[in-house]
Amino acid sequence: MTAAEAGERLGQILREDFQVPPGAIRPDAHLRVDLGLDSLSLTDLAFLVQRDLGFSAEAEEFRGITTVGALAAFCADRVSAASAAAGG
Amino acid sequence: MAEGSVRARRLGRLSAEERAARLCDPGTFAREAGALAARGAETPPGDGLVAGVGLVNGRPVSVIATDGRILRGALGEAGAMTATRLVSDARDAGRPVVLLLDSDGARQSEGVPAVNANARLLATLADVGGYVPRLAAVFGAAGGSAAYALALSDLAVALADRSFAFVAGPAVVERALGESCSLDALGGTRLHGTTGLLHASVSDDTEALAWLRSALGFLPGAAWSAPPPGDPAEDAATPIGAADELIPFDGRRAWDHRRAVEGIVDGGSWLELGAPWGSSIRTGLARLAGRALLLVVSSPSDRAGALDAAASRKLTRFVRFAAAFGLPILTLADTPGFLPGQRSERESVLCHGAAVIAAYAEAKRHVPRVSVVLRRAIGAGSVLAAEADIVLALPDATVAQMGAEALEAASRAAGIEHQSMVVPSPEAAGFAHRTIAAHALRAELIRAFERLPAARAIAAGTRRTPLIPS
Repeated sequence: MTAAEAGERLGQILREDFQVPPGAIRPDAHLRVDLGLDSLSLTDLAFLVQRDLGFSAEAEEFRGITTVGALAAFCADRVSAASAAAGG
Repeated sequence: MAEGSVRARRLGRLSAEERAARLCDPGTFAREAGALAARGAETPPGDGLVAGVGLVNGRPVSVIATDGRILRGALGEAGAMTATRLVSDARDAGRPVVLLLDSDGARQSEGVPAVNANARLLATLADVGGYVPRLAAVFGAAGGSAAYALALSDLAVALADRSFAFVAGPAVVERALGESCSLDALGGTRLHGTTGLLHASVSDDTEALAWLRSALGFLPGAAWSAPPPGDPAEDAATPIGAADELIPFDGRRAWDHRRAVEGIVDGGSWLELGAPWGSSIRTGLARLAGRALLLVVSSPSDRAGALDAAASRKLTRFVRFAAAFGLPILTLADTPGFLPGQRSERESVLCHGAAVIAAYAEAKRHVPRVSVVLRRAIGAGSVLAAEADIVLALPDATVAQMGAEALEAASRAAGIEHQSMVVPSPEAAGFAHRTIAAHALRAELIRAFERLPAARAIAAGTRRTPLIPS
């Protein structure tokens, strides 16, 4: 999965599950400051991206990921790793 | 539509009304007065609280549910007063209290009146301890006073990696203390599974409600009631055969406590409480020929079964809980005693160990106790086996002042000739009443509990012992 593909899926989750306006979803948008997601919402987001994109990660791994673009890149990376592990 | 309802559905997150209704037998939950209590135009009907009475397996329970989707579940004055009245009524009626929590605590926008009302709710929850069981599930977050309501509960379950409990959240902690941390590190289920705040972890709302129903199935409605009976014909999940080696003879070899559990209690009846907390000892609710009891079993795969401060706290808590609610106690012991060493002393193992001794002594006044020395009962750790109404021992069990290596070291340090003080036969030494082979253990335990008097009967509206959190 590419970062762009992950970004698209992430954008869908943000729009549909968190009611984030489409115009606010940019790669450099800060999840807390720009999109207004609090700690619990971020926990929900982490759970949903893992479930929808098909990978798993520890809660601490999401700490330090602050923007939409960074989250998309992280998801793409973990999905690719999961696919490689499954195929290998 | 409540904020985030699409997300809630996708996460399997139920509303407060749905949780209360699904906890109870279908169609039995009735929302009590208070549904229209509200303060101001901004608060919803019921003040974001769902409170009422329903049946669980045909027996009445009082249910209080906060809805995290409405004002973050924060409890205002009206909601706290409604909850307080329900808890108080539950004690008078002899009904368990079940808290379904997703709450920031007291509603800040209402100021002191909300703080005051929430404080009264906590005091009332504390006051009913030992009269009626208090169970809780946390969905989402439990902050501030909601976290203390959780801590006041006798049994608590949470959603793995999705539930949190803390005095104050990460933002407040960072502002007040300059300490940056994640929700998970501050108050996640992995942390609180080891602190003793949470006793079980499940994957979603539905499993949490099922866990609560299961736990309630072991418990009486009140201290003066009897626990509900199970099926006396149920057999052990994995009976122990005559040729089976339940416990390895070599005291240095670990063994899996689950083998003892599955070989002794009724199949499918084991509900473990606090697995990762003080995990050298395992505790939980179980049935033996249908009789509900507290099962305590050593876990030598962790610290060789030694009792550290955490294990001691866990034991104290659940032994006192069993005593309060008339549950017999079955202890399966294989322990080298309390854990020595600097770290253990800093964690106050002596004080917590003394509490274990006191808890078992108190329990003996209220409920029947049967213990089995599976392999070792060393030093003060023999408290797990001693002072029971009936003490059994497996053929290769030993009871000693200290382990062989420790005894040798102590003798050398004292400049005296090492002499073995291991007593090979607990029965011969008068420690155990009978020696019993592993494959005959279940049958002997069933007979033992049948012979013993049931829990000390008490008058309606009274309690055997208060339950103070520790």
